[in-house]
Amino acid sequence: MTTTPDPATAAQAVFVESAEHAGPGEAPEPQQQGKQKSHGQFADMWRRFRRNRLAMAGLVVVVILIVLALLQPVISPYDPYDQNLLNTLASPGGDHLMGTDALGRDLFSGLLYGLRLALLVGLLTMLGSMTLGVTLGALAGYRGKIADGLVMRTTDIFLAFPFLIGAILVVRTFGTGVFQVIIALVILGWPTAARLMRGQILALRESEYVEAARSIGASDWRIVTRHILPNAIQPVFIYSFTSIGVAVVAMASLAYLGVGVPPDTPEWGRMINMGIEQVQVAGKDFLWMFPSAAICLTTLVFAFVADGLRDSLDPKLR
Amino acid sequence: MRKQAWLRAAAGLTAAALVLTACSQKSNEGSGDSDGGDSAPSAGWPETPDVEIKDGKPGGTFRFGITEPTAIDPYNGQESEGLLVTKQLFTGLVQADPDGNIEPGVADKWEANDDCSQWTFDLKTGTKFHNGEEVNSESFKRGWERVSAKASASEVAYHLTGIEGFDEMQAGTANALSGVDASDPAKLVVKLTDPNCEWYVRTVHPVFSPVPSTAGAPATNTAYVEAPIGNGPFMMDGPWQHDVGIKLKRFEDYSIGHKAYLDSVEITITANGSQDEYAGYQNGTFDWARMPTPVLEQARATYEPQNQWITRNTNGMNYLLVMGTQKPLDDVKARKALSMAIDRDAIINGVFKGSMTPATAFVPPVFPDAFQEGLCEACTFNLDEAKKLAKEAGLAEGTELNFQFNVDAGHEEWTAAIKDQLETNLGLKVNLSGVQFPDLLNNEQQPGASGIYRAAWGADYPTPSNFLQPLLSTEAIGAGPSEPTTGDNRGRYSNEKFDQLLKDGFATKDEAERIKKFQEAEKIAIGDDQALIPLWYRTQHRLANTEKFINLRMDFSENPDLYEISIK
Repeated sequence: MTTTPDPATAAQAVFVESAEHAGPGEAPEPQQQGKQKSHGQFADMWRRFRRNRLAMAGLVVVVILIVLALLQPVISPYDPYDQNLLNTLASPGGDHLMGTDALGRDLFSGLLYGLRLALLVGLLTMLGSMTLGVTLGALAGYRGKIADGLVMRTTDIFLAFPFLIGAILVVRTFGTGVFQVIIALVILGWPTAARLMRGQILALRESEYVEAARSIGASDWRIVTRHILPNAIQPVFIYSFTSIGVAVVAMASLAYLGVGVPPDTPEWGRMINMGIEQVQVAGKDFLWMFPSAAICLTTLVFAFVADGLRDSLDPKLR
Repeated sequence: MRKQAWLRAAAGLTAAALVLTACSQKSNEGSGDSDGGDSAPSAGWPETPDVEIKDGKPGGTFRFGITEPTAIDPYNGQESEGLLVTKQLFTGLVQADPDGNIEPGVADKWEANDDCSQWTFDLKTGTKFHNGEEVNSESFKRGWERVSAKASASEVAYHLTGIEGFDEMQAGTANALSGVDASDPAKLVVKLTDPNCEWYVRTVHPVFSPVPSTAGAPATNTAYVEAPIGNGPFMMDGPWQHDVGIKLKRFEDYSIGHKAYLDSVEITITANGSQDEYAGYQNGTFDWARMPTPVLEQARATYEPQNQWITRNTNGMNYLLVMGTQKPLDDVKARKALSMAIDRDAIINGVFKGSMTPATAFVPPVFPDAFQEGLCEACTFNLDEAKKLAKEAGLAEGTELNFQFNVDAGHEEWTAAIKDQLETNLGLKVNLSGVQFPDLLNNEQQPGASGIYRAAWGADYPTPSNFLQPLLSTEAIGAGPSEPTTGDNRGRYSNEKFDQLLKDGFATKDEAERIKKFQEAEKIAIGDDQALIPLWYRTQHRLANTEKFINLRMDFSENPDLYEISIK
């Protein structure tokens, strides 16, 4: 039968990792409070983050979404690929909470499956472009000269591409599939992270504590990874977190245009596309409304969380 | 060749959907045996009754939408939208009625010599172009040479293939068609290099239109290309406003038949095709409209009771192009297994809400004399037999099958349904991919192409052979095994017996005998060899304003028959 893209396991790994980044606050609060003194920076951050109601609400929803995505195989009422040509375009209600599509596939199950895909793509894209961006940005910023010129001119080239056009090009080059989409989004996402990183490094490279480290003979590798990175990475991290929502929308846009995931994949953009075909038919608006709402919700909550993160990390707002 | 045309017309979706035919409103109960008594409703909506044509009265403006045409000048008329306009502006030697029957045009008599290598058309005298010039045999010769000339770069010149001297003109080594004799103004004599006893049918195509002496070459006289002066029942009312519209008015000196009744025709060029047309009909700005497939059911419920609904089986076929020279479909059993594993009724009812009719032959029922209902035995859903044949052909669990379609033309759903059926019923692993239309055409031409491709075909001339020769004859491959195909036989089907039967058919003067040959050929290619997998016939649905107008019907090209339409 139709295969689920296999990244299920990879996805879980990502989710765990991102949960660490996004919400160290999973731990029970009293414990958190108790640790406050010994665990200065993070506890501080968490305290400030919690004060931001919108961010907290966003975080709760993000956690719920992640749990839903992880549990999708268990809680999905139907196989999202299962067609039933005897019950196509059924209205919401009854056996099908959100109705069925033009092939009789359960819309709610499709939405859950799409959530899994969206989070997978969003998080992997974030990780990928952050890793690539930080590495190359650090290289450019710290080494300067040729490395700097090379990396920065490359980012110029990539940034010159309109995002969607660039992504379509990449997907057409690599073929159809979820991972091809991720690759495309990473390729187009890393330059901004790299530029941010480079700017930070340039500022910190000349700072006194770095000079001190250099004077006692620390290697470049040690200086960058132990002294500069921890101080430089915050803006990049926040930017990357914001980009999760962008990646979700980008994937949906690609799918809406018929590029990216295979055509019969229950993916939000594809679902909206199929819904739009029915837009002149009375009473079939649910087909595009549900997946559209899902995209809005997902991008919105990630944006809230990113916003809260920025506020809690920004020393000026302390 | 009308493939592309349809795509444009569909401009969004839908039209692309397709086909079907006539008389046979049979319900294929085939799906019954799989679902154990689950009796699905039979697929297909019946044709609406033929309209009785009455005498009209002058007056009125008829309004409807099309998408931007490629060309309205006959030298390059190639898709439904442009041809619609061209057919109003020009009347050729012969014409097709809405059922595809040939009727006189400028010619009132035509006959071939004994071996069908020479055709003689007797022309009516005294008929006029819109500018008053008389139409004679020279007008036709001029028109055809204008199409054939290398410098014109016509994309539809191939219709004139087979006329003596055509190849030389295409090569640029001659500037006249040596095989066309116009020395007698009232007689047109055409010599063919390939004898063809149904050649006259070809001249239905507007590319065979006469042009006046002022037409000039398309490259130099662009004013004519934008506002052609023809001899048809309507004339241009101002030049073609690109992306905006085209206005036509009645030609008062038309003498080939009665004059048109309508004062004028207002054609709006829409951006979104059928979507805009449907919306325009609903708000009263159009008198005729196509509709996106999804709204058909709802529109029919609204408009059929008001007698504003037209359903017709038309000249076309939707099918799966099969790469029969490549694994895994190089075995006829594999091809039949595939065909039998597709439950056409279920797809038509589920995805198309019943608006298509399942195909059981390749030449559609719109040709009642040639139609062989049930010829394609493997077109009936038969799960057990499909599994058996698949096994014999080596289609094992997990065998990969490539399946491509073109995106944004309304094919996403039904192709996904076919994929699901093939995977569920035969255990295949179907790699369904959607690509842009030009990519689809390019991919299927490649020597290594395998699997199945979404395809549709509309005949250029109202004859069954136009479904067989271009798509299935060896000569229509046009390339060696390691080269991309150049003809329309993209599946590279090649069968000597089939080729010979077609050839015999073209050389047979008696029409009934000729059709018999074509039927035998179809039996071999589709019935025995399953060279292509028919899906559903082309059925078209239209909305027509019967409150204001009479004589509203679809012509053979699926357009409103503007010539007969009249106000009430």
